[in-house]
Amino acid sequence: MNAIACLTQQHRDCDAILAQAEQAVRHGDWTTAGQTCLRLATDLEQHFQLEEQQLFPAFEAATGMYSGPTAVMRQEHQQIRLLLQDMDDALLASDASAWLGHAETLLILTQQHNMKEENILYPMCRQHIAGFEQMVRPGVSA
Amino acid sequence: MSQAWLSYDDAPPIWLPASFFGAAMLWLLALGGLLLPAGMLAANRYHPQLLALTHVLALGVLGNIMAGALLQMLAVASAVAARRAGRLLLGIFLPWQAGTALLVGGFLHGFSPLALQAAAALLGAAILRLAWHGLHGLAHSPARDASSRGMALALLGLLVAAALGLCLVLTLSGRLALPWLPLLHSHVLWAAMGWLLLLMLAVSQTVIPLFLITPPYPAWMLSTGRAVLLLLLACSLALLFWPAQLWLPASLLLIPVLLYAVQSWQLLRQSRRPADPLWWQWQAVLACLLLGCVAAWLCAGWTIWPSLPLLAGLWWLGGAGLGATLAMLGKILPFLAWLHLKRLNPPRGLLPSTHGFLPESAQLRLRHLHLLWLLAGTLWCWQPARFHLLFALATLALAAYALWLGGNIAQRYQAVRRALPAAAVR
Repeated sequence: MNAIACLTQQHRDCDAILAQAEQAVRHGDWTTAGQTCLRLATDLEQHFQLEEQQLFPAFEAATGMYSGPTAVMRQEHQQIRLLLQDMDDALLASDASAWLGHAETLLILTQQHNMKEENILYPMCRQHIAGFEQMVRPGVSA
Repeated sequence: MSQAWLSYDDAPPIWLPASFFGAAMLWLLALGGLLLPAGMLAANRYHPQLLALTHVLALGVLGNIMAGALLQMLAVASAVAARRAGRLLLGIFLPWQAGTALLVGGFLHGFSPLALQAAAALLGAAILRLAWHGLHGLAHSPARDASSRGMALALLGLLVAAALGLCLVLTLSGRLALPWLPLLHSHVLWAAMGWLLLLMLAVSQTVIPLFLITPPYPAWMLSTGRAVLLLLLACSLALLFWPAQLWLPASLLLIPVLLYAVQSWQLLRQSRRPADPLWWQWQAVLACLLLGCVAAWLCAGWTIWPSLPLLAGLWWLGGAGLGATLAMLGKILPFLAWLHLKRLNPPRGLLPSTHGFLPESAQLRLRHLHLLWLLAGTLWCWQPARFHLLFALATLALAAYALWLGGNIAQRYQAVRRALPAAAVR
């Protein structure tokens, strides 16, 4: 699996976990929902760390673009983290309606974020970062 | 390489897609109004009222939603910036509305040459501007995904449909002496398949796997889009030069539609989010696509039932097209409101989630209303004189509910904006 496929797979895995959590909330299974949300937050954070600590700095150093795409991606990571907090609050209050609303917002935000990364940023990273393939390998995290 | 790629500043400001979406809902209301008088007493695909209604639906309702969504999608998925939004509004939105109004007026007033020619000029300019924005932007974009390439194919389809429409207007006004019936059939085919189907195919390749968490569409789906364009070209040539051979490319056109529908159904069955309203909406879209496609194919040989072309148009445009665009609007519009407010850094707890702008229950009600509208439309196609009032009222109800939902989103958006600290809004 090449680096882009690996990063894309990380996105898809997180999508699948979010869908699992959503099903649990819709069925009122708050225990499973809590466990799944924790896994989602952990996996997402691991992916963000890989990007923010390794990928983005390498891209910025290679291209000199410090306030371009990577800044926007970091900003969106922050928004995703805040939405995860909102979902956590709804989970603690067992408020299915609020949780589903925040989860849908998170889903659309992450999907358009992933689209930008997969369609534009990752191909640019492959083009500009010398050790891109080594930086991102299955099982390697920040 | 642009420093600003992926920047929010490159996405259109919310008022640009919102103008297109709002106009679409007003055109839907106009569609209901135009259906009120019992102009067409028996099914006749060439009746002026039917031509006017078809273009209100195709250009006013679907065209506006598709153009607004395309500008947004191009910016987000393909890094085609919409930096000069005011110019896009002037160059696309305004001539689009004026051109549609003149075209509809021209049909209803005895095919007025002046109105039709002015409409063709305005719509041609708007479509050229949209196609230039998209095709030029895509040519310079680093994005090479299936949706970006698919959008380019759809824009090519739109350009050909518009060129054929222009030729038709010039022929009807006596300025060109072209065979109008082959032109008309070609125009319908390119608009319905080259533009609507290809854009649906392009957008769904991104949107369905991402929103409904399904496996991706296979890579050959992009080739399906290219095959549609080639088959459309073959159909147009056959219509002009070898009408007896039309059955072959026309029958072959069924294959890509069938492939897309079957592939989409398989993906929907594997969706991890079957509770999302979009899941059911897309099933209905696919069913309408197949119904419309088969009805259109039967039209050529089964001329004994004049309702058939109307049904083909209704199921294709009203069932598949309107169903898909309403479903997408239900996702896009609340998210755009949320995203634009989020950029103003509201204090935690002030900004509602997307469901706060448009609850799932409202999306479900809209879906049910759309299905009832489709049923009323099917009855109208069967017996226009008997069911025109029912179809008109169903259209007005659907438009009124969609406008009310849009108004709620706008109201909620303004309420959050007003509650923001003054420094954030500035």
